[in-house]
Amino acid sequence: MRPLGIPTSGFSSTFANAKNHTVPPTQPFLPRRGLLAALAALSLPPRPAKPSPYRIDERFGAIRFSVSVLGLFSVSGRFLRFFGDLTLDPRRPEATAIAVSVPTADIDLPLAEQRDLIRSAAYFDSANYPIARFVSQAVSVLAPDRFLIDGLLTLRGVTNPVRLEARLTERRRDPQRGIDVADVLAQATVSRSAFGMVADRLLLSDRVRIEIQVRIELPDGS
Amino acid sequence: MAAEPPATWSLAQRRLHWIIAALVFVTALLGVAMVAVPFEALFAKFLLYQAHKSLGLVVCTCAAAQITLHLTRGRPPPDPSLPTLHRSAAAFVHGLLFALLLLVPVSGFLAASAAPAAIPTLLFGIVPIPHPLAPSEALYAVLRPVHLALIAALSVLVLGHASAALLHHRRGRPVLRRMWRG
Repeated sequence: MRPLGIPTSGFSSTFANAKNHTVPPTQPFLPRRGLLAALAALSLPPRPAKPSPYRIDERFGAIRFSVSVLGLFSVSGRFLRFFGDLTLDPRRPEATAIAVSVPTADIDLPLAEQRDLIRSAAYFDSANYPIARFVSQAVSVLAPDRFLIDGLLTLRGVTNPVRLEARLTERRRDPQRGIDVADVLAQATVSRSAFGMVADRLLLSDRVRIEIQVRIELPDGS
Repeated sequence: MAAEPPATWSLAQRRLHWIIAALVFVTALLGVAMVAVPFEALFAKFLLYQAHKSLGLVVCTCAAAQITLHLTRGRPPPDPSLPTLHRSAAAFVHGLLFALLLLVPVSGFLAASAAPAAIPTLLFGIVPIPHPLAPSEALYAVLRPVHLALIAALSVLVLGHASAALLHHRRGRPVLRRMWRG
């Protein structure tokens, strides 16, 4: 029963499509990292010397968001980077803790005008609030492969509770790297007006669908 | 073409002519407006694009109907006082006008389908029209200038067509009256 604190950093890119990889994965962009580390140190036993059992694979992760346009079709975009700390004990999944920071200016949308608009004061207001942050508070296990992650999302300086529904979609051996990997898909629906993002309500839905896909590395023996 | 050319334009042909003229005018205005409106006015921009695309598709349909009418019912013979050169020039311009009335909307629709923004085409904001092409930066970079070049050609021909009609009218030829009143 040893929970383990595993910092991960510098995601971007999605499956096999790394052309938008604008930032090297190792860039030390970690606001509040110190605070987290301090919290982790307070709440967790010392890290074992052995490598962490769960690590998020930096090359395979994506956070997408989509809104409905007039209820007729949807437009979706993607955050190019996110930085997370994942604390996870395979034998006690309910003790899982996640804290993820997302730079709100690093967005992939088809048009430059769309990217500018979403960074503007009416939307993410990236100039004043460069980071969106999710911190988990409680994890409940519904099934061995299904979890509910309740946490707080801070966006535009406003914090609201958000529930993520996470599913372990696949677990298999990656023969090239000789490790076991697991795909996790987490989904949430948030109301953007709750964060003061009320622009273009006639056109774009209040409800924003968020989809997070990450691949976790599972060392042998877990 | 019918064996015996009719003496006048039919009501349907006359109506279609002026409907197409009005639609082309409005669609052009919408096209200018949709590009000019800033992206912050997202809803207005979206509506203008959808209206432009919808009317463009209607223009294409009306032009196809008019071509069908001309081919099945026939067209009245040209004014007998026109010199042969003028007649062939008119026939050439009319042919090109019809080609462009089809090609401008088609190129626009293809450009809209290939546009990287991947916004669907909703006829009058309701009926989704399937896009024949997948969004592609490279394809869009070709199709958009093609659409604009065809618009330039259409504008020149429309101006020439209208000026010629007015000129003939002032010289006492019944071309304009014939298209207006039958």
